[in-house]
This record gives sequence, structure tokens and C-alpha cells, in this order.
Amino acid sequence: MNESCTLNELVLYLYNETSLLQTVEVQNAIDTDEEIAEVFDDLKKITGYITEISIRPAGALRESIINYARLSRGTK
Amino acid sequence: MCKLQVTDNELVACFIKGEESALQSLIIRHERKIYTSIYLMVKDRELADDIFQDTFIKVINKLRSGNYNEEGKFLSWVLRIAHNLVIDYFRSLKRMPLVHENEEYSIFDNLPLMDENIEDKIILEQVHKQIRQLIEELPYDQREVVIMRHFGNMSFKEIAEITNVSINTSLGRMRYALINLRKLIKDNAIYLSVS
Repeated sequence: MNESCTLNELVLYLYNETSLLQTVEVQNAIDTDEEIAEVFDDLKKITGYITEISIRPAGALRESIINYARLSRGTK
Repeated sequence: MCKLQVTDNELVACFIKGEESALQSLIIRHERKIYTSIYLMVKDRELADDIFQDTFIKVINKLRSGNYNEEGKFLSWVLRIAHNLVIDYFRSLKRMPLVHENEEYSIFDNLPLMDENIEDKIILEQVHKQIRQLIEELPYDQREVVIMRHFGNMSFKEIAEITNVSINTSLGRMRYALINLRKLIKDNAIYLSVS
């Protein structure tokens, strides 16, 4: 792994939390170091999938919450 | 009457004024992220159902008592409430999920190997299911950071504050989580197409 780009910085870059200087350094490392480029590509795919794995709760749960909101209105 | 395209804070204001439909809109808007976060923390559907409901009961009560001033961070605020309820639950059992600081934790040993030809059979939903299972197997502290960053849209600084650790620790946990997932995906020959 390139000394100018740690895994922590790569993760920060992945989540758009790098400073301008870090962004330039990480981008440069990705462009010039195949190992970093491969790791970054994998992590990018993984994070893309994580965002897509959400589960929707049963509709009855929502109704139950709304009912609670209606019934408790004025009692708080 | 509230307009159709409104911000979270406008919906909150509508709800406080008495429009339950605004709460319904908030729930519909965020329920997947909130429910998934809870489920990934407790790894049990029934328990996730209970904590999801309890979370919104707290949300309702806090909104009505004027205890909301998050300025556009409604989702993060709700997830903090959910997170605290999960912590309370584990404390009530007098046990917290095990925290493993070693990135080579034995989750690799616990997962069944996939069929060698699975690459040809995977459809998107199966991949999602597998990724979800892999996340469920991560050590709690790593799973927690993944959930807060991905479903709560929280920065590493915010996550560090909520979990009472330094930013570097929070970032390190995410790094371990992602490296763990990368290794698991490779070990199990799960094919990730460009997402």
C-alpha cells in the first residue's frame, strides 16, 4: 500500500470525507498504484451493495404507530 | 394543509400541529433505513419490530413535548433513539454483543462455503441477502459504524460522538468492517457486479 495513502484515508475518500489535499493525494494513489485501485474498486462495490440491502418493515407496524399517534393526541 | 414535497422539518412541524399524515410521510420516507438499522443490530425480526415501534413512540412523545431541535437531521435523530433502545435492550439482558478489535475475527470460520457455481446462479436479491448476512456476522462495533454511516447518513465525527470513541477508532472500525466484508466476499466467491 502506498505510504501516501492509508486505508483510513481511502475509506474517508470513499465516503467523501477527505480534505481537498487528502482528496488529491488519494486520487493520485488510486491512479498510480494498482493495488490501491483494486482495493478501492472492491470497497466501492461493497458500499454500493450495503446501501441497497434495506428491508421494509411490515405495513401493520406503520399503522400501529399512526394509531398510537392518533389515540395519544391530547393526552401528552 | 401541508404541501406535497416537504422537508423532514416541515413534516415534523405539521405533525406537531396535529397532522398525523405528516408522521406517516416521515415514516414512509425513512422506515427502510431505520428498520434495517435496527434489524442489523439485533438480528431478529420480531425484536426489530418491537424496537421499531418503541422508537417511533419515543419520537412521537419527544416531538410533542418539544424535544426536537436537530435542524434537518431527523433521520440521524431517530436512529440515535433506536440505537439507545437497542443498547437498553442488551443491557436489560445484562450482556452486550461481543466487541472484537481484531479484524481477523473468526466470522470467516462460521460461514458456510458457497456452491462453486454460485456465480452463475446469483440474482441481485440473493446477493443482497448474502451481503446482509455477512454484515450480521460482523462484530457489533463494526456493524454499528456501517449502519450509522450507511443508513443514518452520519459522518465519522458524528458516529464517534454517539459511540463515545475517537474519530480514528470509528474510522478504523469501518475500515475493518469493509476489509472483513471484502475478504468474506472473496472467500465465498460472491460476485459483485458494478452496483
